Amino acid sequence: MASKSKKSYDLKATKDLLSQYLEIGQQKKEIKFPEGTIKIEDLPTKNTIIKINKLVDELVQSIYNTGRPSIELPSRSGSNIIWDEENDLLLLGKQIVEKQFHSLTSVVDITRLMKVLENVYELLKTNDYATKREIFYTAVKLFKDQKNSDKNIEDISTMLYTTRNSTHIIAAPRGACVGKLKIRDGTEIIDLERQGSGYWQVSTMLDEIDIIESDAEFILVIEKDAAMMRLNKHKFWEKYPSILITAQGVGNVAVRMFLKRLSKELNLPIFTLVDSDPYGHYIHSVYLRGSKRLSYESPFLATPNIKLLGVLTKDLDEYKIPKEARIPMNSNDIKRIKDMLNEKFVKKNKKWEADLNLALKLKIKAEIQAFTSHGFAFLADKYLPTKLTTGDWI
Amino acid sequence: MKIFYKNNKNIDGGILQLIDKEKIMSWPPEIPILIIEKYRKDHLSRFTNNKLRSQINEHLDELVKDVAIPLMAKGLETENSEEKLTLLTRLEEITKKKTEMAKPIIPYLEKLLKDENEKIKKLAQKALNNFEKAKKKKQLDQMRKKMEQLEKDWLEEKVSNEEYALERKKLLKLQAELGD
Repeated sequence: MASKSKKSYDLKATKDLLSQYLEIGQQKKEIKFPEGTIKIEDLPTKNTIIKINKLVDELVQSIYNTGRPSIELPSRSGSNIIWDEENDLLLLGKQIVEKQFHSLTSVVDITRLMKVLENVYELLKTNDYATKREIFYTAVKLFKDQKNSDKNIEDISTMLYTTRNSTHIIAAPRGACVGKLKIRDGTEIIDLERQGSGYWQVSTMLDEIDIIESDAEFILVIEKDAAMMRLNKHKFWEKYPSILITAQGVGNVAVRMFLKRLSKELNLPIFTLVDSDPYGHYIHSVYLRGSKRLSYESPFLATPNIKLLGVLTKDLDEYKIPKEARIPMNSNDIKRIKDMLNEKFVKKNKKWEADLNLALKLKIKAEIQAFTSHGFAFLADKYLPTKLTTGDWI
Repeated sequence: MKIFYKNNKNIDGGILQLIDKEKIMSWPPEIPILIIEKYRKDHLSRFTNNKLRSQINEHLDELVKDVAIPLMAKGLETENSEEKLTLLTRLEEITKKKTEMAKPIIPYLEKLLKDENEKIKKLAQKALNNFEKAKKKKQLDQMRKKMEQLEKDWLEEKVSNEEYALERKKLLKLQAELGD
């Protein structure tokens, strides 16, 4: 069934949401951290250097005083991750772990930690940036595996009570953006409407980026590069003034931070378009309230007003996705759905809970590309405009 | 962000959000003027609605007057000669390439001609010379166009030899001045 629909949709529900956001959005809302959670701050370079100097001074002092120095930092274990219902964020609790320099069990870890701290200090002093991979290569023998240096990078951020971005360690570029947006990068204005058949790669150095102008009415975050390509090909963002972003899977720090910035400054409705499977729902949840691993940074990375536009399990019948485009769930999928249904933030959202229960009942999943069974233009011309007009989102 | 309504918001709800004063205050001193003028030059013409265009222009004028110029002036009035030199070096580069956009800084550069620091004085003069050079280049272009017509008229004997020679001399002088 090829789509012949060229009908124009008024996106009424989305525009109503936009009006609401614009009315309330100008009042800047500061996050109040609930009791029992720690506060992480995004720091200017100068202040991060001051913090490191203070930390090292205290260490030296404790070597003189006791000869048994140690470092204390907030624990990032599961038991110390708290869901803040009011702000719909995952935050870090106040449990502290101590790393001792003189203990045989922690000596390797602490040496690695100090190496990363040295790297961070150098980056800050020279106003340079490095990726996690580059940090690993500063001492391959010592770190042995990038997992170890990555863990130490997160330790350094929590130890300094700051974001990873403030330590000048950045994510590798992965995200792409196109649409009704103009940004400043240095002395240039980059027009995201004029990217030809490609996209603007989301910069990992977001400190250098500023939003100049936008006449978008919503933002669409897309899981798959192929779906983004399809929508860009149809100039979806032009017909329905919008900004399209993809991170090709779970949003990395740069994409989530950029999205957070767009959300904060532009007050636009934001939607996710993900596969109809547990991983797609997980991707949405990471944008919504942060990941457990980076829970200490959630206030800087999460977008709590983001809506799950699709693909919902109920959409598969409503939009007549043929049986052959549906995939049976495996045991892992079923376990993931059950795990998600146990999450407090899902239980709180009845529409979300109902769709996950339906997925569990039907035990089927489908990719965004399944809509291609109705023709290449169906996603851009029918599915998305219908949902944005009727307000059929979670 | 400052919000503008593109048409009648009851009809199409089209909105435009544009950077505001608060945001550009934190930029390096030489950047706001460049970005504002670049936006005005390259992006404003796409709005066909005259009312909207004039509202945006008004907002941009406010940004220049209330933030961009004071920010730059503050940067140039700092006691720290090193900071002043860094900013002036950037401004000198800007005046070379984007003369029109940088015009609002002329009065501040003129003030610096009295600075005690020779390097600062020299850089300010260099930047001002760039404006002068750009002005003369513009004159030269106009003069060349005028000469094309004058040559035709001269060949048709509508213009006297003296009149033609006088204009030709002016053109050659200007060309020599600019090393063209």
